[in-house]
Amino acid sequence: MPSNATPRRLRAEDILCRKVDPGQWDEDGVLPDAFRDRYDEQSFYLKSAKPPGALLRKFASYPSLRTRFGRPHLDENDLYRFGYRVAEVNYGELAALGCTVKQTGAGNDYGDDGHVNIAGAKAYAEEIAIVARISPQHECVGAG
Amino acid sequence: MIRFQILSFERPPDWDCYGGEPITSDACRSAVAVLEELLREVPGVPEPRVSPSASGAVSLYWRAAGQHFTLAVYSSARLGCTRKGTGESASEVACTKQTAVRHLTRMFATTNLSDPDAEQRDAAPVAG
Repeated sequence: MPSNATPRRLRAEDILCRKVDPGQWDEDGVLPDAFRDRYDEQSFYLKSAKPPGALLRKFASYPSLRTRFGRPHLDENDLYRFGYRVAEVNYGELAALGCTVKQTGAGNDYGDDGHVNIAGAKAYAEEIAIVARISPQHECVGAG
Repeated sequence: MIRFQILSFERPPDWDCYGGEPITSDACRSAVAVLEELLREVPGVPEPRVSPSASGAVSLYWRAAGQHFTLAVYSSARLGCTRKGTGESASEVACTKQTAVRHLTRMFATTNLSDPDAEQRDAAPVAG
């Protein structure tokens, strides 16, 4: 990587996506637990780099989920059917709450695959849940 | 309906792909029991929104007038609660069912409590 490469920076209007597990959303939207995990920073993905269908497909490849559902192969359609969803939130909304980006080792806001580590999301999970939207079905399934 | 929903929250280790703690059937059954008691004991409290938590608990979540209250049920003997206003940061503390009753009464009932500082005496940081 050339040292003079332009750093990748998030803009306020950039949309970040996060996997939502079954039970962490309802008819009123996303629940705060969708933005909490055991880590200090929470994983999001830049929607333009990894749209909702691709995000679910990524998690469908995790061995722990294949084991849990007793399937040798899973795809985004399976995960959607099992109740997984994708939450979307603008980076500017996270920044306004005081959440910050933990940059990659190369000094970028997001990795080659669009992965973003957000610090502080856990502390403001309730507020994030209020502004988060659930990705529409047609963006989550059948992307191939 | 909400009871069946809670009972479906039993989860194996790493269920969230981020190393989430398992949620036991005991946690689910305890959450149903605690919820039924709270709905009976706190006048006017609505049913909460419920979800599985990566910490291994069942979360009972209420929001009203800019206030957020989450009761995390790990087992019949271990409860945690987080109370915060919108825009505030707060950590979970160990609590009792009585503490939850007081918080919810403040959020949803019209009568004042005679002992508003009692919750401070009950609260202690959650270990581990």
